[in-house]
Order: sequence, then C-alpha cells, then structure tokens
Amino acid sequence: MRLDHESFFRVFWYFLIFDFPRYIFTDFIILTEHLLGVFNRRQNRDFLLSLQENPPLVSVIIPALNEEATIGWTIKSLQEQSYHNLEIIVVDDGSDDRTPTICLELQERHRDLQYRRFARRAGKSAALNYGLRFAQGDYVVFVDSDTTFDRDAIFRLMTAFADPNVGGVSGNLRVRNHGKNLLTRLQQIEYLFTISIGRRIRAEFDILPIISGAFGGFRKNIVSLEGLGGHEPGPGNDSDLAIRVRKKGYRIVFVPNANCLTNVPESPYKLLKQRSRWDRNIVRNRVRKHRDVFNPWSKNFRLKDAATFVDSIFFHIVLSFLTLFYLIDVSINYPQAMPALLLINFFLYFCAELIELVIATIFTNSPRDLGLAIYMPIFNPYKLILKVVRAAAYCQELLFRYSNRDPFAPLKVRRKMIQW
Amino acid sequence: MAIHIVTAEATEESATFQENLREVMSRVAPGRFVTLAGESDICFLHAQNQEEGRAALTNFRQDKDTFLAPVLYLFEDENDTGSGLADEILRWPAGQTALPQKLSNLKNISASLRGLSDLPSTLTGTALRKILLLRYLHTRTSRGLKPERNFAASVGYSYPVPQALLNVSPGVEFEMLEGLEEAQLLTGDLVDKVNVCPYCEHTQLNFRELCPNCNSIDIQEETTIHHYRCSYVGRESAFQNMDELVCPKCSRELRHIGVDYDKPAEMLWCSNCQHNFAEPKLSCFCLNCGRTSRPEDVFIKNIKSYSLTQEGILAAQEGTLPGYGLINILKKELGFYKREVFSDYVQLEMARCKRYQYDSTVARFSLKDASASLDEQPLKHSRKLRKDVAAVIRETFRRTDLFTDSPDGEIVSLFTNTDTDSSNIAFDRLNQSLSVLLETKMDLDYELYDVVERRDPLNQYLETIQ
Repeated sequence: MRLDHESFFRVFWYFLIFDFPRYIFTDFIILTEHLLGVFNRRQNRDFLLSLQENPPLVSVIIPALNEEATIGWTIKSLQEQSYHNLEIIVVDDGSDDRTPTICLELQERHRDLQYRRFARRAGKSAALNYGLRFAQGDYVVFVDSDTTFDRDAIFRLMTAFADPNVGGVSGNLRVRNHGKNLLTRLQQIEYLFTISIGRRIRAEFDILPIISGAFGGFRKNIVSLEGLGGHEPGPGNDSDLAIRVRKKGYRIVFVPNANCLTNVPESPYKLLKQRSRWDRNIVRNRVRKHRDVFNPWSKNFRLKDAATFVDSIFFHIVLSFLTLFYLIDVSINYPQAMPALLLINFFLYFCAELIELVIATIFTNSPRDLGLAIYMPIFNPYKLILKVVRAAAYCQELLFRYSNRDPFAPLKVRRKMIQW
Repeated sequence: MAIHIVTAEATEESATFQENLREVMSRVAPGRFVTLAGESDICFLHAQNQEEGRAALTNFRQDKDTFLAPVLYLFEDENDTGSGLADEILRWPAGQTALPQKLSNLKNISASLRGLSDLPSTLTGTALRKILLLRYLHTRTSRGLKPERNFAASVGYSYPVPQALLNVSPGVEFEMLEGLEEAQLLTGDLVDKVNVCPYCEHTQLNFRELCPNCNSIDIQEETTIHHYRCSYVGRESAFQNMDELVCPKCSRELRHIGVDYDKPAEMLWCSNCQHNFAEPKLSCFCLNCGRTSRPEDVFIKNIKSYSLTQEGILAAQEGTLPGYGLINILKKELGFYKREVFSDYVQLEMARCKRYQYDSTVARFSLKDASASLDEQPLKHSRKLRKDVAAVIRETFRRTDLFTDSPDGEIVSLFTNTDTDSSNIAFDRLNQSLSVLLETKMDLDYELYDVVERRDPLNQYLETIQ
C-alpha cells in the first residue's frame, strides 16, 4: 500500500480527526495559559486573609468500611493540615475489622475527631449523609478513607470558595502506590493526563462534570440534607452530586495544587472492575439520570451543562465505540497492512503523548514525572485495552442497566433505590 | 422522755424556735424538758447557719459529759449537713413530718446507752476518751466510723466525731484510731490510700517531672519529626516556618505525612539545658514542709472506716480497756498456753520437782502500770514502745519458761529449774529495764509460788483462773 495524503487520512482517520486535534488543542491551551499565567488569577484577598486569620469551620467527612490499613493515616494527615479549623467525622459503615478500635483510640486523643458508626452496612451514600448530620462547618469536604493529603491541601481547596459562585471544588488526585508495578505506573500517567491536566482544563471552561469522592469540597448549605439532600444512593454518587450542584447554578472548579494521594488498583482484575464501574456510572448519570440537561425547555437548562455532558459523553462513550469501529475498519479493509498500521499508530500516539508528558510536567511543576517517559511506549496499548473495557461497560449499562446491581450499595438499598 | 434543747445562739429567733419545738413535741412525742444534757434522753440542737451549727455540735461532742448524748440537729441552712457530728439531722421547720422517724432512731441510741454500765471514776484522760469513742460506736451500730474528705486535715481525711472528742486538729485523731485497731478493739475496712510526705506526713504533695540532667522543671513535650530524605529527626518546632514545615538539615519543605516525613514519637526537651529525653525524673515536693522526696520514698497511708470488734464491744460495755494491746503482743512474743494446759504443766512440774528434788517457781504479775504508762504516751511512740516492752519481757525470761494469762489480765508464768530468789532477781532486772524504757520507775506487782513449798495456795490460785 502506498501512502499519499488521501490514503494516509483514510488509514489514520481516527488519530487525525479525534486525537491529534485534541492533543494539539490541549497542549496549546496548557502552554499558552501557563505562559500567560492565566491560571494564577488574582484571588479575593479578603477571603484569603480570612482563611488565615479567622478560618471558617470545615467538616471533613470520611466514610469507612473495613479500612484498618489506611484510616489511621487518613486521619493523621488531616490532623497535619495547615488549615486549623477542622472537624473530622468518621462514619463507619459497619466495619468488622479493627477500624472501630483504631478510630476510637484516635478519638480519645483528639477532640476534633468524631467517630460515628452504623451497626449494619448502609452504603457509602448513607454514611456520607449521616456525617452531614453532624457537620457543624459551613463547608464540607468528602474524602475517601484511603486518601492522604498534602499539608496545605485543605487550605488550597478552600481558596477556591473565594468566588461565591463556586459550589464545589475538586482536589487533585495523585497516585500513592505508583511504584508498585507497571500497572500502577501507567495509572500514574493516566491520572496526570486526565485529572491533573484534563480536569483542570475542563474546569477552566466550566465544563467539569465531576468532583471525585476521594477529595472534594462543597458549601454545606448547598449539599446538605436540607439543601440538595446529600448524596443519592448507588454508584457514581460523587459525580451525581457534582452534577446536581451544577444544575443548581453553581460552578464546579478544580484546584491543581490541592494535592492528595490515593491508592490505585494493583492488579488487572481490580483495575478492570474499577473502570467498568466508573464507565457504567457515566452512562447512568449522564445519559439517563440527568438527561434533562439536554432539554432546553427544562427550567434548569444551562448551555454549559449541556456542553459538559456533550464533552463527557463524546470523549468517553462515543470515542470508545469509534475506536472499536476504527480497528474493525482497518482490519477488514487493510488486513495485510494491519501490523504496519498499528506500528505507525503506535508511533504517532507515542510522540503525541510524549510531548503531552513534557508539557504536563512543566504545567504541574513536577519535573520528576519526566521519568515516566520510559513507560510511554506501552501507555497507548494500555489505553486501548481500557477503551475496549469501556465499550463493554457502556454496552452493559445501556442494555442491561448493570449499575442498578452494583454492590456499591448494599442489597437492601439497591432494592429500594430508583433504578436508573 | 427527757428532752434537752440547745441553740447555737441565744436570740429571739432561737426562743421562738424553742416554743415551736415544744409545741410540736407535745403533739408528736410528749416528754419533759430538762436543762442539763446529761439528764436527757435526746438532745435537740438548733442552728440557723452552718458555721454556728458546726461550732455548737463540735462543742457538744468535745464535752465528755455530752459526747455520747443522742443529738438531733435541726438546721435551717439548706446546705448544712451537720458535719457528721449529729446522730440525725432535720431541716426545720420544713422537715417536721420526718420528726417521728428521727426520734425513733434516737430513742434506740438512748436505750443502748442506758444499758451500759457506769464508767469507773478512775477512768480519766485518754483512756476515758477511748472508752467514750468505743461506746459511741457501740450505741450507733449502723454507722461505723467513716472518714470524710477534709482539705484541712494533714492526710486529706478526718473523722469528725473522734476529732471533736479529742479536740485536736483534723487528722490527729488517726493515731487513736490506729491504736485501737492495733489493740483489736476496732476493725478497719480500706476506703482510700493517700500519698503522704515521708517527713511531715502531709498529703499535699506536688508531683513534679524534672529534667534528669539538670533537675529543671522547665520541660516540654514535643512531637518528633523524622524527615525521610535526610533522616533528620528533631522536634517539631525546629521544622516550623510559619505554616510550613521545613527541614532544618536540608531545607526542603515537608509536604505529605507518610510520604516525605512522619511523626514517630513524642519526646521531652529541657528548656534549661537543652537535654532531650524520653522519661522525666519524678520528684515529690511537699507543699507543707517544703521538702523534696523521691516517689518511691513517699508513704502510703491507708484510710479506713472502722467498726467495733467483739473485744471492742466488750470494752465498750464494761467500760474497761484490755491492757491496751500489750497483753496481745506478749501472747505472740511469749507464746501463751491455755490455762488448763498451763495448769497441767504446773502439776507435772510439781511432781518432777518433788521426785528429782529441784526448785521451780510460778509467778503471777500484772503489767497494768506499764500499760497505763504506755497509754499516756503519744500513740505513735506507744506503738513502738509496746513492742519494745514486749521484747524486754521476752529477753528477761527464758525460752523454757511457760506463760498464760488470768481473766483479770495478770500474766502467770512457770519458771522451771528456778527458785524464788532467782525469780526475784529476774523481776528486779525486769523492773530496771522497764524503768529505763518507759522513763519512769516501774515496780511490778508480783507474787511467787514455789511449786513444792507453796503447792496448796498455788493449786487454789490455778483453780480460780480456770
């Protein structure tokens, strides 16, 4: 096969149409805005001053289920925060390991820690909402029980609330166990691209649809049980809450230097389970539950929300199926050239992602991450596998509504919750 | 029923009170009113405020003539508790409806008192007060003697009733009670243990943590930080730079606990000499005498609640104190035999002396003078002295000598292979030793029986003591 312009486009249409422009656009935006210092906007000085001199009470709510290995560290790192006016509320969702013992011991020593417990498992959403009941602060931060935080993470998260239009703030997730194996290294790269860069850019354009349950802050009056009613049951409760906050007319922002560390799956099986759940949740929340964002006659309709969903659905769902379509297309139409095509695709993606890695390290001021370049050759194959998994998950959800059977919520809750 | 009324202050209100009380009593429990407390069955003591009431009750209990009188304390101050010196208390006039019940309890005490024999006129001083206390406990059987928290007392507790009886500062009454316990007239149940200064026996100890290097009290506890990157371990304040943590060794910022640093331990630091250590040195500073002691030297004082033993009940009923512990100590030191066994040994010795033609002597002697001398000593000294007296007696006699006691408290001994002259010499020696020990001339009252020559009187005597 000879490659001319047309044939080049014909066999590499996916990269050229979807990925190449995205890489260019993203890299351009990052570099430009970084050089112009757009991201480092002047912040409300009075609010910042008040955060230091008279910080408002922030309630940190930690749901926990059998987290004896990590809960102590999570609490410890919260007690290390430079933001001093914190109350920490651990809600134990029926643990039967040493989680209660550890929490009770810590509660004895630290007056700012409350330990609450469900004798029987009620689900993460109920645990978070129960914690909301005891929250005295005007701001709440929801975290996972295996997350630890930079000393200034809460303070930096709080700076985003200087803007009264901000209803929720997402912290930056980084991988703690990145050195465990090749899989965790790849996830480290993925988090760098999709969270540290991707969410940052989306937040800048006000199309961020999610605040991760691992580390996210909200104004309590918005998300309280008297406000939005707290979390809804079922998987994807974190993105669901963020969407509901958006639909109330508030902004969702991302603070790139409010860093936390979280553990990622170390085995392929656990990774596939996790990603399948996340991908089913995208369909659940953005295609079914909140599809009213597309309805221009809906009273909560905002163009930005619709754009947010279009972006999310396109880049997650549509592109996954298009990837499969592309692979089928070239394998059917150019079977003999397949090895060469795959090799060239690999090279194209490798170059694009390498450039993106360099720009990302400049952007996040983490030059050590350049060392991740040695893993770039296998990063795209890794992504390709995940895209196949994604597509399968989307099919599962679209056809069978599998998220309604997700054990994220206990059976007694699943039976009663709304089946989206 | 004879009723005596005491008012803390002679005022118009107290006169009104007396009229009221007489009127109430005429309805509830008619009786005659007497002017002397000693003639009464029940005493009413009235006070309008707590201080007056405490003073009046204390005076009442200090007087040996009124110490045992059943007292119903009528108070008006709602915070008043009667200081533990009254037998019953009643808020007046609000608590009138409970008056019959209170009177009933007091009548029981009065009846118990009437059942006791008169005290001998020779009983005076400390011995009298001990008997009075034993009688007080005997007639108030349900109460016992419980310690009460009292900051003014040297050991933090006091017993109001014996304190009033002895008219001493709070805490001083402990000696008497411990002596009575040692004499097995009282039995104690542990209520508390207090740490007291080994020098002045006050409980006002300040436990201090000191620097083990320079003994300064200016020490602080601080968290230690371990910086992973350079292994620097130091106090947290050394890392603090405004809101940030910066390693003083390598100047790097510490950002994430568990990732670049940890807080493995707490340590103590001396601001005076900069010494750091894990365990402070402990010392006890007495706020009373100002002396410092080590924690291991601190005395532990047992605080007990007391009740009468059978011997104590007997002493209360009879109005006499048994040799005040000296006989009990001697019983252990000398190994007393039962009287019938002793008598059998004497019979045996009589036969042996007659057959083998040697002398043995039975002596009977009283230690009442020695006991009386001991009773007059401060209790702390008398306890040790009793043991010393017992030791002196032990050393004077031989291991081959046998002993028993008589019902009236005399000691009866069999000196084998000893004639009466030698026995006289032994008693002279004993008198001398006791005189030196007790610092008073002792002349023990004793009688000697040669087991052969005075066989009949001896047998008669032995029969009387069985």
